[in-house]
Amino acid sequence: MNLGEDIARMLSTYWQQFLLGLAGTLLLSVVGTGIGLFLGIFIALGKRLRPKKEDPWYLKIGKGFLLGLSSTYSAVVRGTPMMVQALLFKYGCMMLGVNWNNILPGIDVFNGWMVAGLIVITLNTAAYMGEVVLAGLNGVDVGQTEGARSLGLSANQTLWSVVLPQALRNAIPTIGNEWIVNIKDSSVLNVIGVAELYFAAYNAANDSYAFMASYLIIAVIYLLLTLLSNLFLKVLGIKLEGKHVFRFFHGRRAAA
Amino acid sequence: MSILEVRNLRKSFDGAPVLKDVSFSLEKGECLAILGNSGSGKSTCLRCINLLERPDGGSILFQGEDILSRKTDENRVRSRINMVFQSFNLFANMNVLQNCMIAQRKVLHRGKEEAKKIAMENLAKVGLSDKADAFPSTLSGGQKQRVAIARSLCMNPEILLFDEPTSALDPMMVAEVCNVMAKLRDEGVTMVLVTHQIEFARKISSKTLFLYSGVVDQFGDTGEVFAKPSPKFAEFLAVEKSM
Repeated sequence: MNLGEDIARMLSTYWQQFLLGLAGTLLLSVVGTGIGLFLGIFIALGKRLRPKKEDPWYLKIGKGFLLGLSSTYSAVVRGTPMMVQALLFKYGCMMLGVNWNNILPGIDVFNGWMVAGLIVITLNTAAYMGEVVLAGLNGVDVGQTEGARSLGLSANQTLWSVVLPQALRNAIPTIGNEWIVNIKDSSVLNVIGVAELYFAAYNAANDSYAFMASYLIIAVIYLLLTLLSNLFLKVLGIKLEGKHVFRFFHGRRAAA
Repeated sequence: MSILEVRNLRKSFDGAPVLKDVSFSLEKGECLAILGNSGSGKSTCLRCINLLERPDGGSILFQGEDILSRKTDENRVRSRINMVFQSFNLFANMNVLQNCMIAQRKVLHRGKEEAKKIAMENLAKVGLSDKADAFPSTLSGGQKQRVAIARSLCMNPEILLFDEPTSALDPMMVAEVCNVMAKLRDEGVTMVLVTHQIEFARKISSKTLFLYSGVVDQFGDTGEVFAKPSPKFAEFLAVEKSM
């Protein structure tokens, strides 16, 4: 049998499975990156906490606790493979009496395992996003904070209105990178039965014995997805740059 | 009662004393120029008054209230004593109008229309009404500094602190900013100015303070200080003049 015929046969027979798998992969990468970024902001804020000498004792303990918690979370999650995390999550839930198999049963893609997969990829991405946001925050000129504080804005107002928008703007390329990593790495979630693109190809291949054709098809789909995502990010970057909205070292550059 | 009274201010960084013993007072409507060599503690002194730095000792009385007390709401104090920086520190993610409105909205809780009206009035005062929609990155240095001044004026501060406002500017832009500051002086805005523009400081200020390695070397009416400079201040003036 030749490969070209195999591919044509696979596409005509299993196109629905591949399409559903694609939907699953997109869902995992978009939700994981989006909510992961949101959670990552808080991890970054936790890692920036510094107990000060003049703080009252309860603030010192509170800050120290949150600093330790976010640092530990970040180190553990970034230090273990997502595949292992997914399995630990699956069997951990089972030990606690939660079987994701029984949640949303009988649904094709968006079943209990997809929910579990979304949780795993979101929690995993959050740890990486914490580092991304932290780098973004550290990159914003301290003058922006001082300018805001000197006008009477509180530390919180300064963070949410002045510093964080600039940090996120500057982190867009890295955030985009995380998204592309998630498109590809969501494939490991097949170990707990999440119906994404790899899972679809695996089933189709075992069903038809056309292994090479199946995996070649999804390789091309993954490649197209990441190329399109790159293009989207590039356009987004040009759009933002063209508006002169942010030039975030402007103060320092002018002062030099 | 003086609007600002600084007593025995001390501040060190990592054990290196920057301010050793600084005392002076300022009346409402006065303009104080703080002069001194780099590293003499001028900027640190201003930053302590704005509470960007916590002094190690001494006291700062603002309208009779000790602002270093634990009970003081430092955000309220900062909204009354504003600071204009050498590096402008305009918010890069907002346009000129938004820069001038955000603190009015969030700190003074002014309504949107009111805040906008006050922002436009103050932008007109510094001659930048036409730049309301521009982003900071598109402005010249002089324009940025004038926006920063307008942004502070929107808060109706009791005292305006200027930390080397013209040091990052070329001579044309220095003139722009100096003109705005002279106008404010004439309107009776209380100011403290740290600068290396000695001639300008002499022209604009009513009081002069010469800091020498963290200690007040000379303090008094500008006319008198320049007429009878202390040996160290005379040396400072001679060096600056020869530049």
